[in-house]
Amino acid sequence: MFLREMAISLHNLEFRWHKQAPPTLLIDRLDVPRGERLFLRGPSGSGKSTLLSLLGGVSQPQSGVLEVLGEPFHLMRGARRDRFRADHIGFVFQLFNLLPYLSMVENVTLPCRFSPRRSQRLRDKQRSPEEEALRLLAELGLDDPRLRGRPVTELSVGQQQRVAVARALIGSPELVIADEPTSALDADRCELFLRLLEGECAAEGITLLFVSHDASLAPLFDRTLELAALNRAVQ
Amino acid sequence: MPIIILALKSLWNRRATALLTLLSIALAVTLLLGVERLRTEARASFANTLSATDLVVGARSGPVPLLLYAVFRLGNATNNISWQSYQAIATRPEVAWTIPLALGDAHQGYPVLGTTAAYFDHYRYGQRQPLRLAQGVPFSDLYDAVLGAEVAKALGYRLGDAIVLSHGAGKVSFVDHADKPFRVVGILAATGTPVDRTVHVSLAAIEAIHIDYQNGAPRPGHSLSAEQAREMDLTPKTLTAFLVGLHSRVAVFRLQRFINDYPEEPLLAILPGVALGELWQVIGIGEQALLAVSAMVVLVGLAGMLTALLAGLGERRRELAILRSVGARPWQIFTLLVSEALTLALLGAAFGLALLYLLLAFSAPLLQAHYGLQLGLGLPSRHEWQLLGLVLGAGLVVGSIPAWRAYRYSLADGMSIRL
Repeated sequence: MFLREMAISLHNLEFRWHKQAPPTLLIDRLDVPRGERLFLRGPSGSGKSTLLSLLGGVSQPQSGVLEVLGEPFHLMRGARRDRFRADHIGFVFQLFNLLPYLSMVENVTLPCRFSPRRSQRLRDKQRSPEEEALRLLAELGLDDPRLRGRPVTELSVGQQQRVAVARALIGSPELVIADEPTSALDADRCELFLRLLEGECAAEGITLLFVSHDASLAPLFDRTLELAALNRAVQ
Repeated sequence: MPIIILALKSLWNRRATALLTLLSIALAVTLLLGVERLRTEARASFANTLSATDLVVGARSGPVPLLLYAVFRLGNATNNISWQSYQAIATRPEVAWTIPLALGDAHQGYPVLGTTAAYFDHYRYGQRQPLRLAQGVPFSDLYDAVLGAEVAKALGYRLGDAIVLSHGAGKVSFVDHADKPFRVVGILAATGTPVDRTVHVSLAAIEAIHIDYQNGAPRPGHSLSAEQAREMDLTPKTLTAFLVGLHSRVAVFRLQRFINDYPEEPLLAILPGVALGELWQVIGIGEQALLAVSAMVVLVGLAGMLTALLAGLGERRRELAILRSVGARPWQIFTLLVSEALTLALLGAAFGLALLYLLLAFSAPLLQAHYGLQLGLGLPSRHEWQLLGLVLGAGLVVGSIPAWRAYRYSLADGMSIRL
């Protein structure tokens, strides 16, 4: 597989919830080069959720082009889109990312159960999913053995979000999309969390799309874009 | 299969609800299989009320009435048969043995049967089981009586007690044979057949207590004491019916035809197995109803599972969204929910089966002693496996309803975690 330049590439993208409804998203052009750590600032009402549902493959645009890793994501049908997403994109959400009935390590290895490609990448590195989970958790400062045996519901919110990051990163997907993952953290923990996230993405060459309404985080990223300025539907 | 493991862990996480659901399915399965087993046993025991008997012979009426009074000792015979006809048939070369039956009297509503020692030698029920005396001995003296298990238990009789027979088959009789009391010499073990409800005396005793009767009523001024009756000729003049055993079953239809065409007297010979089958057709409707009711109970149990799964689904939308975000496809979400339901149904069926055997192990000796029902601890029959299969199938169908809902949710919600 040759190196593709763009991790995400949008052209003339248009999306409306119904045929008669006004468009909620109209983006002429958005390119995210591979390896970039992009901060996309979007207050509520800027079309942030819509863009994320398009990138997650939950919704499909009415017109325009949405390429992910050079593949026409907007043209893929249900099952193929699901597989592509599972193989290439890791997600971190705002809150409650973990399954309460699984241990910390089991939560992190979850994507390997569903994506043969991610578990294949670990095999190529001659690591088992559990070893890799422990390595990632250690990188993220969760190597205290006492934490490991505890139910994930007893972890602090910051710890839970770091477990979610480890899960998004396992098996080295090309792209990680984080949706307000820091909104429940206080300022100190927020900065620590972001440094860990950035560091891991940089080490693995992973493209990071970080979506948040909080402009104060912007200096920590390579580049910042205002969604409200991109989305002609809200201007 | 990772999905199954996830399903099990998720179930374990909700174990309180899951356990209740499991329990209701298990109890329903126990009831279903228990009723099925009792039903099968009741039918078998009914069909085996009388075994090893080739023909039942009585005065000409119909097969079912003859069966009812000769075997079940219910109601009255319309006519008796003569001692001569009985002798003529009993002495035929193909006949191995006969059991004469003289009915018509009662003791506290329980039928009194006059018969001979052949009754204890040749009468068979169930899987050709002979009668067994729980206490005492067969009758030998003229005024000896042998009680069926239920008679002795219900009326509290013991060996040596004196009993008075009543004239006529009713519960309330105005004419007692009070002048000729009987002594209890034997009590039979429970058989689960009408034998349990019978008071057995000798044929001669039946003759003796009616010796001073004429046209079914005591002859005034001609009463004979118990001791005087001993001196009389007590050869019976009539019988109600008799059972016939043959040397070879091959001769059964020939003898049946011979008896039905008997020129001296209108007689009827029936094959007890065939007649019992006809009778079961009539009274067997109840067993179907019983099975239908227990099938309903299983449906209620599964409906409980459906309720629990559907109610839990709302709270689990977040769990489903997380699974979607880590790459689970909608069909895998469907599989997850179906495997949960199937696990519940499977464990429910297994626990139900275990509970059934536990109950059987405890109750089988009691049922045997009190009702003569033999509930084996054998492996489930093919029909029982089929019923279990139906329960699992129904569990699968019921489980696919919440699974389908979850599938729709996971398509609509995608990965957005709704709180």
